[in-house]
Amino acid sequence: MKRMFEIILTVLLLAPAGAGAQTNPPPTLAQAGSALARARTVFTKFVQERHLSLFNEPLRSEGYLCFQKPGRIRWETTVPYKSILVSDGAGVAQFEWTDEHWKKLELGLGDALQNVMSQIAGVMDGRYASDRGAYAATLTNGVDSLVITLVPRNEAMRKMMAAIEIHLAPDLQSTRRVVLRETNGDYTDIEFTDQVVNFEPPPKTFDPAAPADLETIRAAAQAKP
Amino acid sequence: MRARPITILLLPVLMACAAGGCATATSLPARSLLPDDGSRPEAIERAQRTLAHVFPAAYRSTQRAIITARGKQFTCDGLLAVSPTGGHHLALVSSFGTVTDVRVTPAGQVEVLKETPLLRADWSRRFVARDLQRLFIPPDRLEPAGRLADGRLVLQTAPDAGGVTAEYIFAADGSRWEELDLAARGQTFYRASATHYLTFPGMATEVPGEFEVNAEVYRLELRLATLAREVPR
Repeated sequence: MKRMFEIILTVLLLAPAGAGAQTNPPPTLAQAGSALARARTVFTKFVQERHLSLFNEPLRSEGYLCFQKPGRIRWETTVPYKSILVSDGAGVAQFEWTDEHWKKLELGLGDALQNVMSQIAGVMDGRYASDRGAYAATLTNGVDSLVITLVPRNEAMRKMMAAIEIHLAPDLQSTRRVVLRETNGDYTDIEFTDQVVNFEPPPKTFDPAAPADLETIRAAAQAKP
Repeated sequence: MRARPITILLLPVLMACAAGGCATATSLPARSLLPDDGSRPEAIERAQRTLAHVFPAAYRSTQRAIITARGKQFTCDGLLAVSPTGGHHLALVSSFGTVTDVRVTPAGQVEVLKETPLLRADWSRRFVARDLQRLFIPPDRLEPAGRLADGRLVLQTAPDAGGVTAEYIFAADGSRWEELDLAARGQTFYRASATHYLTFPGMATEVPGEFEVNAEVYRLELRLATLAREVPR
C-alpha cells in the first residue's frame, strides 16, 4: 500500500505542471516539484498491470484515483473486483464489494497506515522533490516522454523495490505512466488517463466511514468547466 | 519524510496469520456422520466425477483474498495458472509487491519459486500451498465416508503422511462440491465452503466463485474475479 501511495503522490506531484513548463533544456526536478502546488485536486483513471517474471501474462486491474490536498486520497479498483482504499487525512479505511454491498474491513496496522498517510501529506506540501532523504532522483529524456527515476535510499526498502519510474508527457501536462520495479524482476506498470485537475470533489469522497459512490465523484470531475 | 521499510507494514499481519499454525489450534465442531448404507452408489460415483472436474484442466484465474487474523484484515490479489504439464502455479501480490510465488507440480510436489521479504518460504509452503492444494487440486482417490443428517454425501481421503484426512461434502445427488474438512487425530482444524457457483465467460459449467476458509486461527475469504479456460500445451 505504501508503494501505491508513493505512486499516487508522485503522480499528484507531477501531473499538474502548468503551461509554460515546456522548456529546453528539460525542466529540473525542482521545477517539477514546484508544479505540485498548482493542483488542489486530481481525478484520474488508471490501468494497472503487475508483471510477474514467472507468468506470461500480467495481473491487470483498473479503476480511479482521487486526491485532494492536503492528504485526502482515494484509490478505487473497479475491475476485475471492486475495492476502495481511502484516507481523509486522519484515518484510513478499506472497503470490499461483497455480496452486492460494500463491506468495511477491520484493517490492521492502522497506526502504520496513518503514518504512511502523513508521509503523503508531507509530499503534498511539496517536500517530496526537495527532500532527497528518501529517494535518489534522476531525470532523463525518453523518446516521447520525460522520465523521473526514484531509487529508495533506505536499504530495507530497496530490498523490495529497485526503483520508481514516472513517465511524463513532454509538455508536463500529464503523467502517463508510473512503473514500480521490484528487485526480484517483477514490476507494476500503471497508466493514467482522463485526468481532471482542480475539480471540486463531492462531500464524502474521502469519508472513511461511508465514502461517496464513484459515479458521483466522476460526475463532479466531468462537470469541471 | 523518511521512507520506512515497507516490510514493517505487512509482516505483522502475515506473522499473525502464520502464528496461527503455531498457536493452539481452535478445533472446529465435528460433523455427525451417518454411515454409508450403500443405497446411493450412483450419487457417490457422480460426486467423485464432480470433484475431479470442478475446474478445467488448464486455465488462468485472478483472485481477490481477504485474510483475517486476530480480528484484523488484509487483502491480496492472486494469479493462478494451471496446466497439465505445469501444475498449479500461484502468485500472491499485495500493494507492497509480490508476497509469494508457489507451484504444485503435477506430481504433487510443492515448490516455492519466489521467496520475498514479505513471507517466509516455510509459511508459503505451510499455508499458501495448503490452500492451493486443498481448494484447487482434487485428490487422487476418494472413498465413501457416509452422509450427513441433511442427506449430503461425504467422501474422504486416506490419511496422508501427516495423518491428515480430508472430508469432502457434496450435495445429496453428488452433483456439487460444497464443503471440505481437514482433520487430524480426531480434530477438525480446517473447514472450507465452496459457494457462489457461477459460470465464467467461455465456460459451459459452473465453478465455485468463492471459498470461505476457517483454518486454525485465520480466516480466508477468496473470490475468483476472473477465470479463463486455456488450451493445454
